[in-house]
Order: sequence, then C-alpha cells, then structure tokens
Amino acid sequence: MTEPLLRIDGLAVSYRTRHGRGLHGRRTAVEGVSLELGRGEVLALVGESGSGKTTIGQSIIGLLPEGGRVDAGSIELRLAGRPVDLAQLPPRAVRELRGRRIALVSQDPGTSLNPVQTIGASVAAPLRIHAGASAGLGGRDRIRRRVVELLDRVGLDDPERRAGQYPHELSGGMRQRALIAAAIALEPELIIADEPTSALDVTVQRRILDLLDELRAELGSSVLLITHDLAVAAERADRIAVLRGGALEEAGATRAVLQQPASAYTRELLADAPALADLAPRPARAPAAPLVEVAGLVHEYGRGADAFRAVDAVTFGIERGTTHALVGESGSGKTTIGRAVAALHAPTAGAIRIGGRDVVADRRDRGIRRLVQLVSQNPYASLDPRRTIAQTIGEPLRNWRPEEGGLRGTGPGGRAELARRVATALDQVALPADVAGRLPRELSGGQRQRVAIARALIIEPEVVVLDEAVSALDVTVQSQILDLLEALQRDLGLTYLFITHDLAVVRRIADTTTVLRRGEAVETGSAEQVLTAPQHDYTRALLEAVSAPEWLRAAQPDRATAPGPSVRTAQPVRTAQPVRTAQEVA
Amino acid sequence: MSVVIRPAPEAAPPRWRPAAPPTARFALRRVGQALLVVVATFVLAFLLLHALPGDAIVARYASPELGLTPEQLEALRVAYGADQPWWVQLGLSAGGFLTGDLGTSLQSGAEVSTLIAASLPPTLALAGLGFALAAVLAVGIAAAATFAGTEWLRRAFRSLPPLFVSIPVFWIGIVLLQVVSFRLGLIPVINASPAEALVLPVVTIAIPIAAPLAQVLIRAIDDTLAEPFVIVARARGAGPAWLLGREVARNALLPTLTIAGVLFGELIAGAVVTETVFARSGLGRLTADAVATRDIPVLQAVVVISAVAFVVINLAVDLLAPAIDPRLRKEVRA
Repeated sequence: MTEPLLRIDGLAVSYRTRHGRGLHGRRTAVEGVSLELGRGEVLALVGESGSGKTTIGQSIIGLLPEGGRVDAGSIELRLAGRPVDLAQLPPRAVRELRGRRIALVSQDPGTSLNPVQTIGASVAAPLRIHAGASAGLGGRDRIRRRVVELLDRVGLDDPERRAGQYPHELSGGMRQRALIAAAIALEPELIIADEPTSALDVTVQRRILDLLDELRAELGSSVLLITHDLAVAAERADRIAVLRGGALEEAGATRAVLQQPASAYTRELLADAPALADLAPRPARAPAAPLVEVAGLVHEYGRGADAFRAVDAVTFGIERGTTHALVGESGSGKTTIGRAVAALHAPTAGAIRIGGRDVVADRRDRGIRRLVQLVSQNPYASLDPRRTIAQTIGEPLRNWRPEEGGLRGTGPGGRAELARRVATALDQVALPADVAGRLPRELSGGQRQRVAIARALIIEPEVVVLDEAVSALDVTVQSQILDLLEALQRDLGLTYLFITHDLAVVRRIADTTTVLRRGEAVETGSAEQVLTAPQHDYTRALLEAVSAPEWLRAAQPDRATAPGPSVRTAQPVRTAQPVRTAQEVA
Repeated sequence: MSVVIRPAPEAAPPRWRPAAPPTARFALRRVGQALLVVVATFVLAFLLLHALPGDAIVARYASPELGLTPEQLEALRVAYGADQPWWVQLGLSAGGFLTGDLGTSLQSGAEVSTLIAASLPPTLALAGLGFALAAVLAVGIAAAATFAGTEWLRRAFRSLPPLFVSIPVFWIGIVLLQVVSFRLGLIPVINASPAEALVLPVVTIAIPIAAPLAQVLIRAIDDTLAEPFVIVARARGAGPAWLLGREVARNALLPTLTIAGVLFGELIAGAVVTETVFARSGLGRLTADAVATRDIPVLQAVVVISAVAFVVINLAVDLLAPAIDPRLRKEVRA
C-alpha cells in the first residue's frame, strides 16, 4: 500500500476547565489515538457524544474550540511526498491548508451558512480567500462562473437563482449541498465530514451521502466521516474506528470490525442501534374503543392568503395502554398535532377527545393537565437550570390541591409527603435517590430526560405525548429510555402518543402508527402492517432510508443476550464520570 | 485529478439573480405607524401641558408686580385664545402646526418658529457630531475588546462601557471644562472659535451614547463569533480580517443599529444638560428656559419636533434593517 494521506500518532487533546476564578484545570478529551487514512479512502470515526470523535476532526483542521490544545502526538498530512505535522505547523500555515487541501462539511446546515450572505457568496468564499494561492482562480467573473458550476454539480436546480438566494430560502438538504459545493471548490485532498447528515430528514440523508461518495470518487479525495450512526458508517466507510471516552476501542476494515467486534463496547453499540434492530413490530391487537380520538384535525398558521396549513384533516385513535406513533419529517405537522393533543393550543378545525372529554373546549381547564402531559425533545432546555431535580419533579404536586391529587397548602406534613412522592418518582424512572438535590447541569442527557418523564408522570396522567423524546440522545441511552417507557407503560397502563422522525424507533415501541407528510396522513394502521406492508410510496421511502445493509443486521447481537445495560439491571447513571457539558463535547 | 464539471450553460458570465426587495406594504405600514406616533405625541403633549393648574397666561402675567387688572388679564387670555374650551385650542394648535405657525412665545413674544429656527442648527451640529463620535468610539472599543493582543487588554476594554454608562453627563461636562479649559488651557472658554467651542460639548454628549452602543456591539460580535458559520468560514481558511469584515460585521450591525435608534432619545436629553453646562444656545437650552418659565407654546413645539426626529430616525432604522438582514425581507409568517 502507498503512503497514507493522513497518519495520526498518539494524539492527546485536552480542554481547559474552569473551577471558578483563575483556577484552571485540564480535562483530557482524546488520549493516545493513532489512526491512518489512505488516499481515496473513507474512514469512519464512530462513538457516542463525549467519545472525542469531533475533537479529533477539529485537531486535524486546527480548529479546536477555545481552551482546547493538542498535548501530544502528531498529525501527519502527506500532500506531495513530504509529510507535514499539522500539530506542529504555525497557525498561519495551517490556515493556508484549510479550505484548499483540507475541507470541512459540518453538522448543521441550518447554522453553518452566514444568514446575511447569499449562497453564491458563501460558496465563493474559499475561492476568494485562496485567490492568491491558487493561481488562475481569481477574477470576479471566473469565480461567479465557477460557483454556478459547483452549485450545478452538487445537484441544485437553477444554480444561478440559488446563487442569489439567502440560506433561509433553501431547505436543509439544499443548504448542505451548497456547503458541500463550498467544501469541494478547491478540490481538497482531505474532506472532514462531521455528522454531515445528522440534522437532515432521513429521506434526504441518503442522497447527501451519495453525493459525498460521488464527489470523493471524482476528486480522489479521502474522507474522514464522523458519525454516531453505525448503519451510515457500515455502508459508507472502508475502515472504521470506534472511540469511547477519548480512547480508541478498536479500528479496522469496516466489515471485520462490525461482524467480529473485538471490544464489548462495539457489541453494545451494535445491540443498541435501533436502525439495525430486526425486531418484529408489536403484534396488532383486537380493536377496542379508543381512549384518545383525533378527528379531522386541521391547523393553520397565519391568516387569509398567507395562511399555511400545517395539519390537514388528520384522524386517528389510540387505545388505552397502547402507543401510537406519529412519524414524519420536518414540516410534516407532527409536533403541531402533539401540542394540540396535549391541550397546548387550539386547532383550526377538528375534534380531539380523551376518554370522551373534549380537549379542544377544555384546554384552558387545569384539570385537563392531569389527563395528558407532554415530554419534549430537548432535555437540556426543558428543565429549569436553577431548580433542583426534586423541585422540578415536585412542582406539579405543589400546583394542585389535595382534592385534585396534589399537595398544595398541606403544610409541613405535606412536605414530607412531597419528598416521599418525589423519591418514588425517581425510583420509577430508575434514577438514584441522591439525584434529588442536584441541578440539571450535573446530570447527563439521558438522566435529564428521565427527570422530564418523572415530572410528567407525578400527577398520574393517563396519556403522555412524547415529542421526539429520545431524538437528542445517544443510541445506548436512547435504548435505555425506550426500555423505561415500555416498562412504565406496562406497570401504569399509560397511553403514549409518540412523535418521531425515526421509523426504527417506531418499530421498537409503537402498536399503531400514522405516517405524516406535509400535514397529511398518508398512511395509518397497526405498526406491523405499516412497517411490513407499506401501502404508500412515501412510507416505503422512509423505510428504505433507515434500512441497514443485510450483513450488518445479521451481525447484530441479540438484544436479550447483549452485554448492554437494560433498564432494571444496570443503572444508566455513571456518576463517577464527570458530566460533560454539551458545549465541551460538541 | 480534475472534476468533471458540466460547463455553465452560456458563455457570458452568469449573473446571480438578486432576491426580492422589501415589500412596499411593509414600508407603508411602518410610515403609517410613525405618523400615528407623531399625532399621538402631539395630542398627549398638548393635554399634559394644558392640564397644569391655571393656564399659561395666568401663570405668566398674574404676578402682583406686573399690576395687571383682571380685565387686562382677560383681554390677554382672549388674545391668546386661552378662553376657548380645550378641544378648540387643540384644533387651533394642530391647524397652526400643519401650516407652519407654531404660535408665539409667552416669554419673549417672538414667533416660536423663529426661536426654533435659530436654535436648531447648533443642536443639530452638536447631536450629529456627538453621535458620529459615539459611533466611532463604540466601534473602536468593541474592536479592541474583541481583537486586542492580550487577554488583559481585552478585559480592560470590556470594562470601559459599564464605567462610561455610570458617569452622569453633567459631571463629564464639568470635569472636562475644569481640566481641559481651566487647568490645561487647551481650549479657551471665552472667544473660542465655533469649532473649538464644539469640541468639549461633543465629547460630553458622545460618551454616554458610546457606552451602551459599545456594550451591544461587543455582545453582538461575541454572539456572531460563536455561530457555527464562523467556524465554517475558518475551515475555509479565513483569517481575522475576513472574519470581521465579511462574516461578523453585518450580523453584528443589526442589534447595534436598533439600539442606536433608541439611544437617539438620549441625545435629546443630553443636549439639555450639555448646552446648559457649556452655556451654548440651542434646542436644549431653549427647552430648559421654556420649562423654567412655563412657556407652553415653545414646549409644545420642542416636544413635537423631538418626537418627529425620534420617529424619523427609528423609521429609518426599521426600513434599513431588511437591507442588512435578508431574513427580514419576507413578511413574517406566524
């Protein structure tokens, strides 16, 4: 084999941590990682948040966040024979390489384009920045022409019009195409793709990955693909490196690693990946009278000619003790429906009944909150950062009088009862009792989501609306939360309306499902029927998008025998580890 | 290793088609709102000034030293229209403003429009130069606070705005006068040239405006630098100059511009104090005198002119915002 393009040897990276004023410590993010990336090769870095995969990418391109520093090791880039060590190169020299020889495709196309610049200006930026270094690219007209060519090449229709548009006028997939156009503008040898499709809809993800593949083949570039998604890595990478807590677990040819994982951690990741699960959907049951009935639901935003119909005549029912999944991509109206069912806003038309009660008419009646509760997606934003976990979970009880099921105004006796109920709620969601006195920032994402679930359950609602409740979590944690939700449903007879974009999660948890597209229900029925015999093309496209290669599915260990933790056997609380903030690991 | 790229369809250099300009509807609505504010200010100012106990004529002429008889007072009231019910007076006053007749000063008997015409130019010069200096100071402080070489220096510049905000205007004026004119003798107090006479008042009025402006600008630059698209620009090889000029400046401008519009009100208040401290003639001085003598026609005119200026500036900011941020060009959908 020829010399690799990139050789990382014994890389160690640390971040400065603040312990109050002036007192600095350093926290290791990456330790002793050695990797190689051949020319024209795709190497996938996989791991959960905090595994250091993004940090490695940032070290290569020289863009570690403030306080980050390469402590040891080398990052050799071999451009034309002679290798340069990126870790030792002066900043100015690294800057020369960025955009020209090393390019970045970042995670969120929504925030990666300057909102006040046209798409054309953004794509032209690398050409203009390096105009001096790459002779022959200068000249306004030449740059403009090249930008239009690039936009055309990445598959944007009417590229001239796109060049004059602003980011907010384009969809997420189109923005990511524009960002890819900018990244390949100077035909870089190395493309670092950091979760390039994680923020995109599933049906768009595949097309973006195909485009990256095509361009890599044309340019002969190497790609460092950073992803949390094993299915994506399995399908796209020649070689794979599994990271955990900043250290390399194992690395090798993709198939070899995934079919015969050497490390227990890789097996755990495989077992928890919902996209790979070959679980049979929950079997359909005999129909009974539904507890939740949604009929002809219409929701419009805006008025008159500007009105936008977010939900258009959606009808479904949920039987007591079952889970109904609303599936759809962004803009499908699923959250709007969820909020209407949770009595948080009134629909434009249509009826919602829970146990015969008119939710639309009674939405301002506090009593409705004891019937239906909402758990939202982001466990970082949905908890008050200044309240202890006990205060957060106990708040509903303090809002309700005893005759309403709460403890308001019950004095000192009530306080003891409150503490007892909070302890029970924590136990219910498998959190240790000592979490009660902590603040949200001291908890991990999965722990916070458990707190949000406990808060929703403490006043014993019958229906819980879970709006993308596991989407922000790592696969292992996601799997644990889904286990928890299933256990709670069994024990308490809860009824779930589960909102998700992920069909793999539907397969895991739903009894019935409705597939939404642009506000319309394209298909509704038992999860088994919809997932195994989809009637609509759109459902098929969604299924296709989450399908993993056959060999990888076969490689997945059985969930029952996998070493991964489950809800009752292992606590998800690894309190010994310092909790990293999202910013530090992002 | 070259990309197979389909050549652009036509030989002529492609033109990027620009996005749609701000809608006329948006502009018209804002102008309408601005007019409404001016009318409301006029009516409110009129009602407040006339709600004072007694009327202006009585307050001005009823003092025993003038020795006017009740009959003479009554004649004066008729002459000034003060005997009419308030709504008739409001109508007359409004009609006068629309035709450019602002009434006569109770104090000097001069036409209010003449008084205003005399005091407007010096105040405009003071306010305009003060605001320009404030803008320069704010940009300088913000740039230094963001890009100065050492962390120590950046922190020092960051602590300037809070310091400036907490200093009262009159105190700055007095200290400047003491130090620059009396101690150092750099600028003569008497017989100064018009340009020299402007220096200290402009500095005095600029500092309290520059401080909040710099604060907002520093914050906006910080926020923009933390945006992912800045990382992306750096990943394309952008250096500090490119980042500041092409990525950050325009994004940081919008919040600053909005605050600048609001701070314009400070300028008007600042002019009153500054002109009094430096004994300059101008709108601020005219206001202070009119308040002291309850010269209601002058006050009414000053309030309305201030309101018009304030509304026009903020209207300009509103109409300029979509030019800076394309996201504001579309009518917002709920």
